[in-house]
Amino acid sequence: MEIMVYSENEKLFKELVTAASHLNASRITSAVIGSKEDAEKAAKYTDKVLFVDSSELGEYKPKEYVEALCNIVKGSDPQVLLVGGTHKGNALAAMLSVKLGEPSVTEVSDLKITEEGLMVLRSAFGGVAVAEVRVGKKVFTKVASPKIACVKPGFFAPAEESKNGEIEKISVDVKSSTEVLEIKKKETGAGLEDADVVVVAGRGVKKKEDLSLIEDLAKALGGVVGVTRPLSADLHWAPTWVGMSGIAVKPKLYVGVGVSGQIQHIAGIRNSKVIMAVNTDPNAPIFEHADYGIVGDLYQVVPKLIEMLKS
Amino acid sequence: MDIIVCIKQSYDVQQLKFDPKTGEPMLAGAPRKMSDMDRRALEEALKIKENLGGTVKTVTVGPPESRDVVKEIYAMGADEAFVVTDLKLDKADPDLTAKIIVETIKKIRNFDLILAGAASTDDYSWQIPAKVAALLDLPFFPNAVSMTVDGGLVVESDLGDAIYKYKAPLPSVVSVSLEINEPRIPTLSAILKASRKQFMDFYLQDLGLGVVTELEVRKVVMPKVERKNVVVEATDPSKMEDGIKKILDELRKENVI
Repeated sequence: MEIMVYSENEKLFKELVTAASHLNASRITSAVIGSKEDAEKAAKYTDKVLFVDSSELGEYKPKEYVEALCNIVKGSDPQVLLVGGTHKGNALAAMLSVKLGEPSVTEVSDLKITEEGLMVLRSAFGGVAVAEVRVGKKVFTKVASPKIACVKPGFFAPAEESKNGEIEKISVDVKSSTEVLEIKKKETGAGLEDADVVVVAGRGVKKKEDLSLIEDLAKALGGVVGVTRPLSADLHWAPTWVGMSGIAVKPKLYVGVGVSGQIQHIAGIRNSKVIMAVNTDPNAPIFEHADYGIVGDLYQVVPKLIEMLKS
Repeated sequence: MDIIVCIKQSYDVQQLKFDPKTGEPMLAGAPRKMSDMDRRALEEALKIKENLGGTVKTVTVGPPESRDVVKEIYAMGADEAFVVTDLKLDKADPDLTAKIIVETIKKIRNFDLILAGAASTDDYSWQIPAKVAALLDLPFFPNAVSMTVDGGLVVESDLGDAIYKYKAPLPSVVSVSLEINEPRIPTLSAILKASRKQFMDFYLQDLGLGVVTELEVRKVVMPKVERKNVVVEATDPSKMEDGIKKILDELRKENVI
């Protein structure tokens, strides 16, 4: 079975290669829309690279890039196409699926191929739950176009270099009526998504100024600070929150300070290795989801915690 | 400018309960609400109409409960709501939903712009607006954080690594993010007036479509991760230091600090 992988994000691309090998692909091909150097990099991970030179296409525009991706897919015979589940990838996958008349599924965290076809796990209700989904009623046939699955970042280990695949250039002839006026790169500093330690402030924190206490704790633990939904959406203390429809974190250590632990928040921290919580209420739901809990007033516990961490 | 907005009546996931034994969502009669990002798409359309004139029509597809969203759509200020329902549409996959939306749009016929939330509050597939665009062979701009239409359509799309500013043709499909605006809260009198307004109420079979899906959801559960649940008492200041020490020792053993 041939599995094709596509992601504009290099790390996610390597994760897709691992996901493809877990599916027992006999052959992994990569779709690249980028520079010659991008294609050469991809060749080190996959058996073959089908490549559209992005200088012929310009910067990312969904409709135009889908044309290119469609040409690439038709240049080979994949039965599954794994796409990196970014905003760019999700848009391409959804549009390509319409063009090919094959189903696409997003927010995928795991996949397997059974006698019934492609089965995936995807997050449901914004990450609160997990759904098992069968992708495509038809069993695989050789002639079919690929089923498409968008895989979320961070669920497979990045693959190592192991191949020296052949590179085939695919031509495109795309006319565009869209112009890219400007691309403003976003800060990619120590984000919550990649942090080893995440300290989250919840409703128990009474004033915005008190967030400095949470920041001091994060500093003492070598981590970064996040907030829960009410602190962001209602009080506007931070632009985004940890939890459902905000950011999902998976640090080695999560510390919830004054966080009650609604399921919508738990959905965003579930993949943390160790969960610790500080809360005045011994019955707060967060303690059911925590490895370690301290029942006490955060305004007394946190300063003591910082002091003991420093000594 | 004539604008069509796609609006889902989603499950209100903030209020969703799960069966403590099976971990399955208790969906029967679960509360629903207008999807958060769709509400912002409607707000954006209404703002454009206020500036440039034109119409705002909405398309809603789903199970019969979806009709409840119409009152709010009218109260916010839309001109006409189209709703397509079927008892089985809770099982619709993104391809089917997009197909039904497109068939409804074809009934509306005239439009310059299609807006939708980038993802729904319950399913988060991020796929519907893209599929609608592909089915209509229109350009698509995902996850807009800002847009202007006077003097041509300009969309700023947050694509994760960067904000892409596009000068786009009309018609196009634009999906909007939560950040794009702060939606209006309808007045009580607008809500009262809205409840008397007629809407275009279709059954799926009126469109000549059936519920045929390629994605089949086998099971939905809230995953349970086993945790150690070691809890210490630190409400009493005299016990606090011992309690914290115990936890810090455990964290050191776990090699996370």
